[in-house]
Amino acid sequence: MSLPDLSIQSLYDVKGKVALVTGGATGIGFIYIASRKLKAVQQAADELNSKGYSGQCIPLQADLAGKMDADKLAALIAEKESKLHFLFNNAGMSWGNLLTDFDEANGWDRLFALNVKVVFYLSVALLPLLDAASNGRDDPARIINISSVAGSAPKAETPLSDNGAGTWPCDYLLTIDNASKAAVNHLTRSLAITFANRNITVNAIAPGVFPSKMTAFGIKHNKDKFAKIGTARDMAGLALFLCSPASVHITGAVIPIDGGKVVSANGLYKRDVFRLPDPFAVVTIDGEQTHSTSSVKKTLNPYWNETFDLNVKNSSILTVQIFDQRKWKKDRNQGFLGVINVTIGQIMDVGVAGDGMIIVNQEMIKMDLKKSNSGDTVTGSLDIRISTSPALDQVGPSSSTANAPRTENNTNSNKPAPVTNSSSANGLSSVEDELGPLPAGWERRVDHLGRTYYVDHNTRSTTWNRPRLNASSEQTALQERERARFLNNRRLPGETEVAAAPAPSTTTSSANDSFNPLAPLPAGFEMRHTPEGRPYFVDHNTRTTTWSDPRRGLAGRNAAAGAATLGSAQTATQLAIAQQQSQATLGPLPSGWEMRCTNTGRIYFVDHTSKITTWDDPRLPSAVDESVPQYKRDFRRKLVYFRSQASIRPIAGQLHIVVRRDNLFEDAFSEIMRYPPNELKKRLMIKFQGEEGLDYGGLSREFFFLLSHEMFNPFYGLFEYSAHDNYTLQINPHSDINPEHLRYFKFIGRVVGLAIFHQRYLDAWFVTAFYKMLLQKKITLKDMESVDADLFRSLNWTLENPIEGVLDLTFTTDDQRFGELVTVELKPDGANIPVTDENKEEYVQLLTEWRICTRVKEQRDAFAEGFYELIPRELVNVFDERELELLIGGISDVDVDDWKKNTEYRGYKEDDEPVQLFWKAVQEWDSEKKSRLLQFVTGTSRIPVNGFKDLQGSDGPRKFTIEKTGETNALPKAHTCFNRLDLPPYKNFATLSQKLTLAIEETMGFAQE
Amino acid sequence: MDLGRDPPSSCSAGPVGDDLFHWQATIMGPSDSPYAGGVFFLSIHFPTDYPFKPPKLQFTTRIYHPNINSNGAICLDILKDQWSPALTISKVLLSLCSLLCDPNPDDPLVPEIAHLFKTDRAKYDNTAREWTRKYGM
Repeated sequence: MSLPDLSIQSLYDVKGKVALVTGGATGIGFIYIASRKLKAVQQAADELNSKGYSGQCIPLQADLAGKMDADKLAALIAEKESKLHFLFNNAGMSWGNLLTDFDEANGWDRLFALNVKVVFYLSVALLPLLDAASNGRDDPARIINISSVAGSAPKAETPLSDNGAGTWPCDYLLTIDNASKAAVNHLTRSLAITFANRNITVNAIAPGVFPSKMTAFGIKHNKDKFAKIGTARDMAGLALFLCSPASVHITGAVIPIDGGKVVSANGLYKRDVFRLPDPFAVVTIDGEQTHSTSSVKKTLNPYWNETFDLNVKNSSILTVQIFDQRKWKKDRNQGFLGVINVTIGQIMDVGVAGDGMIIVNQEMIKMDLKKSNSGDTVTGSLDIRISTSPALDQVGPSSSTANAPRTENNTNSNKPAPVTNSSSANGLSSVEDELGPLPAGWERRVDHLGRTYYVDHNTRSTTWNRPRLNASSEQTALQERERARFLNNRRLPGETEVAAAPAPSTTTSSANDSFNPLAPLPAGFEMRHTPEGRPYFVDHNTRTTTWSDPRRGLAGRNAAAGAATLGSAQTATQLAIAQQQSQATLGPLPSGWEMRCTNTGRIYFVDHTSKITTWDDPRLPSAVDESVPQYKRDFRRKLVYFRSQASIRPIAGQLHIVVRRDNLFEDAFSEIMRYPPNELKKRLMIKFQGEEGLDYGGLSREFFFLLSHEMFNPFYGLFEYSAHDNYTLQINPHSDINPEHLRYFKFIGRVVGLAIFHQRYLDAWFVTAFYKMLLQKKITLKDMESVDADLFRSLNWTLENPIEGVLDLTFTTDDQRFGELVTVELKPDGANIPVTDENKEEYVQLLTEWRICTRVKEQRDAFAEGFYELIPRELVNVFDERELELLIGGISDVDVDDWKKNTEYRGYKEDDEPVQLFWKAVQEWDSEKKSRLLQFVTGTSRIPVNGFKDLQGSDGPRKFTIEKTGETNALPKAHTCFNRLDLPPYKNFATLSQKLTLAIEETMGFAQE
Repeated sequence: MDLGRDPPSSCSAGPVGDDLFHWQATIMGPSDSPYAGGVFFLSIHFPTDYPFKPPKLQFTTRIYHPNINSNGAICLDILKDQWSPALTISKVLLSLCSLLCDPNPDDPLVPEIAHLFKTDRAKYDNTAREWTRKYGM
């Protein structure tokens, strides 16, 4: 007996065979390739053919949804071929949503039809051709179904198909393509038996993560979570094997090809398919001083926020182990979910109290969880915060506070709540200690346990650590640097650049606390006296003045405010917040004025010059002051009202958010969606992982700036540029290509709300209609102008001209959804209702609403849900859409020289008098009014990144244009499509200024006659 | 859509296959132009917003004309910002016929041809006739 032929050539020879691959447009594909995306499949075929593989690749367009489509495709093949050797059932889709909102048509019917039903029907329909190709046991025809590792391990593709990956808790989220793939696996085995006698083998390939349109979004966002993404070559090897003579003896097999990924998941590893763990953490130092947290029910993203006092040395090892409470003392490994070990000396230097060497890492540390000895898979990370609290009578090691996982919280963590006892144990003043004076603005206090802590009045924060003398100036420098990095010129009206001269704006009262009036004033402070002899203090660091002595702490004031009045501490806090906020929006009080608070919490104002008190804020224009433009009066008023509302005041405490710069979008998503809305109302402390820097505003400003570039990047498919220009954004009506898009919209809504809440600005501008939707205003045809200028013109034409006999329309519209054309009825039975001259107004209104609102309703609702969690609907409704734009985006400085340089004239020459007067007026106006003028003429206050030369109109680049037209008694008009201002040739400056002001103040865009 | 109602004599148009949004059209070169005798094919794509958005027309037969480039793209105001929903395909095709008779060299898509048209009309006519013979007959 001779040896069989085992050469590679004969084992893997597939010459002269015919194959059909469904779903072949992108991803993994071969020879007769069929797809519903004709163009893409054509490209794939061209590409394959051009690569010079032997054999020919022929594209077919097919949209497979059931038996009929399968039969049709089979007939198409039968026309061209008498045999089919290999059938690859490759077409597939995925879908997922909230359990409570699980769409039947998309979630089950369409998905199972394509993923499972078609596999069966196509195999059956092609049976005659497969039979014809089958040539006995040694040369069978082959059916190869592309399944997924997720068909046997639902979490195997976790980073793609769900978001337990530290992104969001997935308790209530389900994707069922896993189930459909499991069905494919079993169908494979069943068909293998059924077709065994016909000599047709049926096998399935279960790929892990391979690139295709279906997985593109997941891969893009989770690049770093995959060790390796599968490639065409990886797949081709197995596919070739299953087609080749080498595999004739294999049938009914499901072969995973995933680089081993089936074993891993994200967040904490889910050991149990059907249950989420109840994680809790155990903290030990060198195996002693054991503390444990409470358990958090059913989550992969627990947040404990508990604090423990531990005695440590530099050489101590801090161990935090995470266990599942449900498996604790039951399971072989106690439900172990991961561990971290840290040598204290590596992250902080624990000196001996009093030697001045206590340098402490106060920041959140993020550490990856490690395996134990048992070797079970562990994923996820742990956030801990460690700080020291030197005890007064400490001799040996100082004590350390490990604030085990997650952010700290002012009320129950390592920061003491404000207490009034500010007297120190050893008779030193509150602004100095054994080591000498504290930096400017700092105060030393002792809590109820006798521990010393430090209050930084500059930043209104407390710490256990003694501040270094130069810390404050370092912080200031840092703050300045960060500020410079982003939008230091963006603000809202009244936020003046430099605070005015003496304008005492804080309150004080006679105090009897322990402060030493002879102690030196902090650096940069100066004491002066009013003409009446009352002392006040000038802080040259911040160029502000105050009645209160900087050497004296808040506590003293609170205590002195009198025990009789109820909640004096609260009113003081309230006053402090009100001062801070009104200063931010309105600037400092005029000279001689002071803001005070009644014991019922109502704010009033004292004018020390005229010795009167009033409820009215002297910074606000009074109703009779007609010289102040209406819009400004309104917007300022609204802002003050808005900011004064309790529901949008920050609540006590801090919220620490740590993000990686290179993964900002996903990190921000998981952090911001993790907390209940009320947590988000605490002071935000943003930290970029691996970077030094404390957030005194600069970092969170930068955070919102960078995040807005990510969230609104049209690349992600959530937002798109309007057809009007290429920098105002609108919701992408086809964002559902990302099955999780609604959660992202809710997130973005939260971020926008958060930015407004914390008075940060986003670098994003939307079409006017978007702001109107947020304000729940009715959308009208006029709003179409900034969305789609062509459509706007045509619809306008429709209204203005008789259409009967000209336009043949019904109450429907067509929508292109990824190449598929869908007819949408604008009202019930719209397809049978012709549009006439009588009902065309309704048609235009319905079409406009559909284009702008209806088709993005889901997205808008999700956005609004997130937004209203932070900014109550009734509060934001005080603004109009233009004011909302300014509230979200802020007002940027407008470079008038650049503007002027890039302006074109029609009918005017640059040196004509009205043009000169126009620029004179613009030069004189403040930023807000310039922004208003821009809104009026271009539809947005946004200036392109590269300045006015890149200004876009509805039909491409359109520079700012001033056209000579109109009567001199009329108002200027604007054409936002073309960035054009129709400026009548006004004779004098006063008229021009007045008409222009009136136009931008009273009109809402185009055509004010 | 509308050609059935008022078919112009010098042009024709109809769907390609069963895709109603993709048509093919032909224009006969006007007799009083250098394009006389030629038959020019165009492809027409209707956007989903038709008739509120203009159809996209493109010559698939090469033609020598100041307002039509080598890819067949057409520079004609009614196909851009001067579009009106009242315009029908036959009206558009008639406009194209008149564009063949009367090029608009002041708003050219191919400046070289426009320049020749303005400076040496005879040479322009000759080249246009030559191209018509070469590609359109």
